[in-house]
Amino acid sequence: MRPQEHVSDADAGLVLENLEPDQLALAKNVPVPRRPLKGGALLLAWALRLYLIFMLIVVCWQAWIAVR
Amino acid sequence: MGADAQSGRKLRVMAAEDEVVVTHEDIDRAHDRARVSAARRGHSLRSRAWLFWLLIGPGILVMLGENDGPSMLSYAATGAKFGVGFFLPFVILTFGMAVVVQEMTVRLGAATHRGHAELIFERFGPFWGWFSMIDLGIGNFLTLITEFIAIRAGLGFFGVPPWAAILVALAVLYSALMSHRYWTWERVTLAAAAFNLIFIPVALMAHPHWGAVGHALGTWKPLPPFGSDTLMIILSDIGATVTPWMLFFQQSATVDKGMTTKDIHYGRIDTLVGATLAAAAALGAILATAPLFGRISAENFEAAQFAQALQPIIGRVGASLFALGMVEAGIVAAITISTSSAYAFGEVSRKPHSLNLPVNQGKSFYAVLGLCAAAAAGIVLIPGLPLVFVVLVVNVVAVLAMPPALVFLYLLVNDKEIMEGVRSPAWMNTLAAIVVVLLTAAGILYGVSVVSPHALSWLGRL
Repeated sequence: MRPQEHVSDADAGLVLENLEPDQLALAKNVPVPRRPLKGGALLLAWALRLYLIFMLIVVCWQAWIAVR
Repeated sequence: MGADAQSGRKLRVMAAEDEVVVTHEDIDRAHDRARVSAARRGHSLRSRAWLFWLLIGPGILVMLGENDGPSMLSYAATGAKFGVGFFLPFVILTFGMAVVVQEMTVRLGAATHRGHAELIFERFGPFWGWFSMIDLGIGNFLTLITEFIAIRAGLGFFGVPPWAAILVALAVLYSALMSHRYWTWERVTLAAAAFNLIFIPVALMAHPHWGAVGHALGTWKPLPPFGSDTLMIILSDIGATVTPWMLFFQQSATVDKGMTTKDIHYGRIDTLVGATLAAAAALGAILATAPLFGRISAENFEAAQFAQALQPIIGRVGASLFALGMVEAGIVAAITISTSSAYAFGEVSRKPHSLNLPVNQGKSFYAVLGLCAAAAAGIVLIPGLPLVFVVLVVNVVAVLAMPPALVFLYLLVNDKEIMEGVRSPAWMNTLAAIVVVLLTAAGILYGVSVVSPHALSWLGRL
């Protein structure tokens, strides 16, 4: 992400006046702190992940039968 | 500094020696936000209307964008297979589910100023982030293919050869990007999306029986027979209104538009208006094809075939409008879905990702956007590929992929560290949980219908 090379005073004022600090494009280089999944949330995430994988196999199987 | 910054909001910007670094993207966004600030200072009805005009966009675009090629084909098949009945209120219910889900992305984007992919990666780690990206990537690419199938079929009704239809679609998609301004892109795409409402006059040309429509909306009857065909249409209609790309798109668009927590109220109205317009167009497609009920088999129908079948009923003009509606549905969705892929790629690869970027500063963003669309368009032109299966399963895949995506959305929107004062209230969480349960149950029923069709018959007798 390149900083704008020629920023007029008017543009600089406009940005500072109208954008919240963390709206600036380069502010997004600061990562949001990590919050690993734990307990029930981790269990639910895994359960739904396995559900999705199983169901996608079912979809592929159905498509395979239809193609044959 | 802006009002929030002056009031002591923590400055998280990388500020080298107290110097705020400004990019081209920031300047464009600040111009848009300056107009919003000016409109907010007024208290007249006109000022409110102007503010509403400035802040609408992501919600209407995501809802009308999701009324895409396979979705409109799904609604058309619904009307042709089941006529006027259970599916009219059911489709309204699915849009209600979409509002519940999409409203959360508005709050998340406005509060964090981060895209959905970025938040999943950074908050829960790359392991879960990559799973989400794979779901999104596969779903988006399959859906993009179906958009070009719809465009090809719709323009085919007018005798346009497939290669020319695809070129027209790509030209429209690329020209929407030419301004390199989010605001202009949004207004151009909104204008194109408004054409989705063409299904309403087409429905009127089919002279629906309004008494039957009112009865269906009030009683959910007549009920369809319980079987694998009905289940497939149920899943297809759900997948026509709630899909993972919508979460990623609306949150990223909310961020790119520069919306803040002060704009959430208008973001909600935007989403609600979008859902209302999209539901009206969806019901229009069902009512337009309802006269075909009992006359044809709607199995594996493409857009042009529906238009041809409707021609004796609604005339050449009505059939042409129906085909044009399919083309519009495909083009607008191709624009929004390829944009959602580009946003997500930029967010996880930490490359610049904004429609406010000039091409030389957003090469990877525009490259992903353009290449995704071009690759999907190219596949549609390969002769002999069994693309009809992609159309049939794409909405089903969307429904299956939604529950895992919704869990991350639920966790993020209830995360007090990032959501400040705009976390979900208990009633909203309850509605979201109901949506997850309904979608999972629909997916499990689909699985049962494929693995053991007899078990489904047994369930139907209960």
